[in-house]
Amino acid sequence: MNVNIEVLFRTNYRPLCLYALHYLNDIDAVEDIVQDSFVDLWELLKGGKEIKNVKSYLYTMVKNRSLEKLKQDNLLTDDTILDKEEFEYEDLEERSCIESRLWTAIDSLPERCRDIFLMSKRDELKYKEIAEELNISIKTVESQMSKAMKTLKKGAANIYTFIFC
Amino acid sequence: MKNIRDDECLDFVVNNYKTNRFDPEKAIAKFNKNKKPRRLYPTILIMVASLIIGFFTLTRIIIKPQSEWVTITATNEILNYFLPDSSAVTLYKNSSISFDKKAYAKKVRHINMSGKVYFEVRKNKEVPFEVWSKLTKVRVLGTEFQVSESEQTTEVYVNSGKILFTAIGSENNLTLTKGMFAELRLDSQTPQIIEPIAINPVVWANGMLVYENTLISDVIAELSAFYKVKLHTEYPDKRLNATFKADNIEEIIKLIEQVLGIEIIITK
Repeated sequence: MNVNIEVLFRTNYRPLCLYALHYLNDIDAVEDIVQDSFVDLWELLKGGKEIKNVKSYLYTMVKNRSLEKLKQDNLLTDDTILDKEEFEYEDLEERSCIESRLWTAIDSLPERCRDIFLMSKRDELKYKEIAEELNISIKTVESQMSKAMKTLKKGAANIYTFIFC
Repeated sequence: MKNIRDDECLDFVVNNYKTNRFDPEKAIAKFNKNKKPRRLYPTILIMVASLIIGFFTLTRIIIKPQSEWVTITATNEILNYFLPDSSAVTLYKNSSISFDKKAYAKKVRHINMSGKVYFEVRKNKEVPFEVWSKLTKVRVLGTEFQVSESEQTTEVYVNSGKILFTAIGSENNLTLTKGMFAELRLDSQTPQIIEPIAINPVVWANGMLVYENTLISDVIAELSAFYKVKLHTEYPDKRLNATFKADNIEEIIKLIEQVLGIEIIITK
């Protein structure tokens, strides 16, 4: 069976990271787990193991390792029950793909535009507050925001044509 | 179907976004650099780490005490206290809390308590807040709630947010949200949701009286108990929507009278 590991990385690495992020909330740990999963998968394939669906195998690996890590850190206790809603997406895989595309879209924004976008959406600052903070006019904030939203919409539009990443 | 969660997805991404992370190209570079699995390293690392940790624990045990317990007690008056993480605690008369200053907020914010205590917990998703009473354990991430112990039962009330209420030594638990009451009885292993026992159960701690379409007879009953006065009206069936700061009973009564156009008689 012929698997191109680089293609596998390019199509699945970021969605897998976001998938794991739903469990772990720790970007460093997430990157390590996904990286290790790829390395181990590669070893398995090289050792001649037959894996029917490589992609879902990767997701299972990442999920198990994330839960393992939670257990190690003593976090897989009552909280997990508390936060259960967050884990109960039946379609977490698909959701992670959507999120991965949004992440990519934000990545692709010019730095200034991205800063303004994050100040508004993440830090929940008003346009007026952003304008004051950055010493620019509200008009500029507005135009940068609409530019950002357009890029994201385009990113999101791709989602519907790439339902299976 | 996909549209439903677009906002949720965006929120999640925006709140976690960091530039230059989750970059597949970097991951590929790293992968190509050490295709050889690093299976041995973890074992060696763990061995070295445990040696170091063992050494430090040993010196710690010899040199200084492991823990330092602080106890806060309210005797005759209601007491306000701030925990090291700036969570606020209000203790009712004859109540107390204690916590280990050394270990507090390392992995969990662990508090032991007795009596009646109201908590306003500073939100911290990584370090849960746990309140242990004689029979029960309440675990939260950030919310406002009250735990109240008596001989026969332990009661909890959630003023805002969400908590997990557990009987100590059992798996049985309840998730409670804003406005809910629950109790664990001494003779039971299962916490149970109960009917509200008061309209404003934490007025003694936060000084707020909130009424939403509440029967005047219920309002009067609560005010009577809280201010230790006798109140009477000819119109017990009217309903009240109001929020008061619980300071002067005469003023509160005057306001209710004006708003509803009724008369309330106070006798001390």
